[in-house]
Amino acid sequence: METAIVIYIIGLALAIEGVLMAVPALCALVYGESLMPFLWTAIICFLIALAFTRKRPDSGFLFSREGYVATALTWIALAFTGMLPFLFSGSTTSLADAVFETVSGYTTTGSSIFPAVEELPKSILMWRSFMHWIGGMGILVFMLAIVPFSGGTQMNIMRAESPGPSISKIVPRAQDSAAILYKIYTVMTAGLIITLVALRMPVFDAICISFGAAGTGGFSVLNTGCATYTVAQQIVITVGMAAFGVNFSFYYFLTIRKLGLAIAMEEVRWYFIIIFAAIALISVDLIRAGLYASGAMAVKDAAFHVSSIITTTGYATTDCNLWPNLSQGILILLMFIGACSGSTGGGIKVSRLLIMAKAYKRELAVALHPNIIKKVHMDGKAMDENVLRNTGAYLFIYFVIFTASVLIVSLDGFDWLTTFTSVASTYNNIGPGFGVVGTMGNFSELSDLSKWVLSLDMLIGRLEIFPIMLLFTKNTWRRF
Amino acid sequence: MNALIVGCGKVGTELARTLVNDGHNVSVVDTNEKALASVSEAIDIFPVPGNGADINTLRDAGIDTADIFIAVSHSDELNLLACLVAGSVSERLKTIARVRNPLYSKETDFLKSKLGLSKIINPELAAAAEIYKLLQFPALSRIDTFAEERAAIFTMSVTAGQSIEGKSLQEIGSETDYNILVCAVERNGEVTIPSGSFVLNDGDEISVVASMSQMKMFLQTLGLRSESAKSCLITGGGTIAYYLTDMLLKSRRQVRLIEINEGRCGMLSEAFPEAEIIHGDGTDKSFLLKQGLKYVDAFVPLTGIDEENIISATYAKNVSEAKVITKINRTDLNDVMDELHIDSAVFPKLICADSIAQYVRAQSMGLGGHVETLYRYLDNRLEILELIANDDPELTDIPLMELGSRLKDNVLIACIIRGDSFIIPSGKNVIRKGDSVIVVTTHSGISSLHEILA
Repeated sequence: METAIVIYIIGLALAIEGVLMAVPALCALVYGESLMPFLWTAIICFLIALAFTRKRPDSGFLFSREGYVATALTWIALAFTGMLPFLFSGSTTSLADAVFETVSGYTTTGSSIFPAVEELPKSILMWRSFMHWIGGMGILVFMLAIVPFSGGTQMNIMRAESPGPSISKIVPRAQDSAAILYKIYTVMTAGLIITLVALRMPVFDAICISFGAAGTGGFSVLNTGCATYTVAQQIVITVGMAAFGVNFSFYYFLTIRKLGLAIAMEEVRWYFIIIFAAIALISVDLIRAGLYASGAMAVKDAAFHVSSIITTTGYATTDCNLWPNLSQGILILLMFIGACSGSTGGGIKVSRLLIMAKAYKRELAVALHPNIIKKVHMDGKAMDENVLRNTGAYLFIYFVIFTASVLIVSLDGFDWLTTFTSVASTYNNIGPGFGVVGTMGNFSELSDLSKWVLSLDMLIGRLEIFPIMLLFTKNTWRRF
Repeated sequence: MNALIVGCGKVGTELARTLVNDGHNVSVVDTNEKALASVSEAIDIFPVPGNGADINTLRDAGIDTADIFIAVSHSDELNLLACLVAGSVSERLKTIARVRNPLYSKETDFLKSKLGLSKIINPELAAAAEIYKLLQFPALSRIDTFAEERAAIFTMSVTAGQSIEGKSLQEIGSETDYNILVCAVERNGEVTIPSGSFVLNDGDEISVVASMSQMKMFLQTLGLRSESAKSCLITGGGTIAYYLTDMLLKSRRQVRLIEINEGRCGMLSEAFPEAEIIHGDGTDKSFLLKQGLKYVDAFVPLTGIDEENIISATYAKNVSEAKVITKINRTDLNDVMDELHIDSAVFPKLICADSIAQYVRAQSMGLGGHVETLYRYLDNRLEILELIANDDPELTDIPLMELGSRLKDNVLIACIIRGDSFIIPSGKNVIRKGDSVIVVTTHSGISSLHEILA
């Protein structure tokens, strides 16, 4: 382990976090609220950053091990510094709650321990939503975009922080790649804000909701979630959420006018197939159950929730606990599927499921012709066997952690639907589940133990397991 | 600039490193995915697995937006074909191919014009030329030329008892009336661009800029051999040996070449009737002694195996007074070579990468003149550039005295070549439009004269 460079990177990330405090601070100024929570947090961030970055390590090299460790530790450090505004502002006094809320923010989960968010200061609400936006694309990717690093350093960080089974740069320079991603991200977010404001949503709501949709987070600013927004606004949010669940390479190909490459992306195609199939099934189910007077409203709510869950955002317009079983079942399924790799969404990712489906097909062929040599193809290219191997192992450990978490949370004694979906929705970075933690409920009733476990689950889910698990591996910490 | 490299062997990797450090966007195409992966771990490139002559692979690698295309795979034919395919995509694309087969390289100009190549690089030929240059000045460990061979920068080590040892550069300048300039000193692994008060010690490696005639006189005063090696013993009859023998024979030196493969010996003897081709094992010590290692002027081990070359070279240093020059294929042994006290080592892969890097840098024409020649010294820690001055109100026709404070740190204007005159500049001199200016710097990536300003 090259500890020096890891510490240096954590320091840089904290410095950036300190600067980012300016956003909620600005909001506090506008609404005449106290600046102090953000000022103190920024000062603490800068002090730690100063200590950590005092000297730039000589060996600028950062191998894949250091990349993973730096990413994991950075996120943990962000969780413990990002929670300070909650404590300083007195929004909560419990450490477990503050950490849970912060991790939920950064990992773009959107599960909240606040029963009534409207009572919170506007600047705190802004900070919650802004964490979604930063966490969506990743603070380290942001760092890569603005701080030059040497050699292969960048890729080892980018790979550790970006979701998906195989991460590659979109242009030769990692720094340019990171900058392009953030450019696309910023432009799309701005577009969403402007559209919502044009549809007469209050500016504050529009900004927070757009940050949440862009990062596929899901903190809302009203106690009722998105239920009181107009139909037009809800439709725009639906489309917006779905757009941020698409692999960002898709948008890059569009901007450089390579339509062919964009259309060839199998993952994106399947992502939309799944969305439309789920909307159709749930709409029919809702209408059949007689919950909606008009078919159009049923389709609107179905679309909103499908888009919200598959992208792992977690906004809601209605209480899904009242929905029929099939609809709930489909939504729970979507929780696990998740968005595309290379997007801001969480979950297992469409690409991983696609890869495993193809691997399964190959196994069938091997069963029929034991000597067959068959490569798995994706986007018209033969896939690297390493990605297949990695995906298999990923799914295994994914379900091991899931099961263990469910068992621990079950100690709280809630019904199984609550227990199961509280883990599913935090682990996949969605937000609400069903039962007590449903779309109109929250996580405040869970025990502290469950909150800590779920906080860890959110981090593990956002960073896609391996970075966090490596922290608990003895060999990671050996020099040799 | 966007550069596309085909082949990520030693040359491709070294080249990618240089170009990325110079700030270019680099994609690398290779069929070996493992090699690609390990290169992209270390260097910020865009790896594209596939065949370099396949247009779809090249499209993936961004051939449509590339400015320069460099084919340095192991196969000459693939390199030429890849350049041909790439060249058909866009007219303005500069294509460079590595071609090493002596058969093809005789037709360099023909190939270049017919295939529309911008440059053909032959590392073996370049290495042979480098060795040949060193054989002309056995006292030097490296020599590079500028301005059509009118000026040179040479590297030698200071030894105890030499008249320059223990003196400051100022003293040396005032005692002799030679027009020379010590522009870099390596001491204990540290490279410095010295000031006038710098005192030279035993063991320093100094790099000196001088005109060709001044250099010869300077070497004579130091009591160093200034005439070229008359006889030369080469082991290993590979491509470099082939080119080197050709050059040596053309300038009427005596060449004895030891080659282990009898068939190859026959072929060499056919090509070079004046050379003595010996069939035998060039790594066998007693055999070497039998072939006159003790009395030869220069010994050049050029077998295909680095380790054997190094061992023979070290042995030769022990038993003979000969100038020893060896060739090293690996690019990561630079540091170790310093420890071994072999007179000179030539790295064909680095020569090749350097010469392409120089070409690329010359393409990025900037304000205030462009790069004509680029040499990199001491493990790339020092760059010596020949820059052609353009009209630049901030630079030209300003006395260097005034310019001095506006230069970057660690930038030295070593000499100005104007027509036939060779000027070691003092404060009163000025740079004029069209001058060749030799700049020594520890900064990397300077591509125009304007960039030496802070």
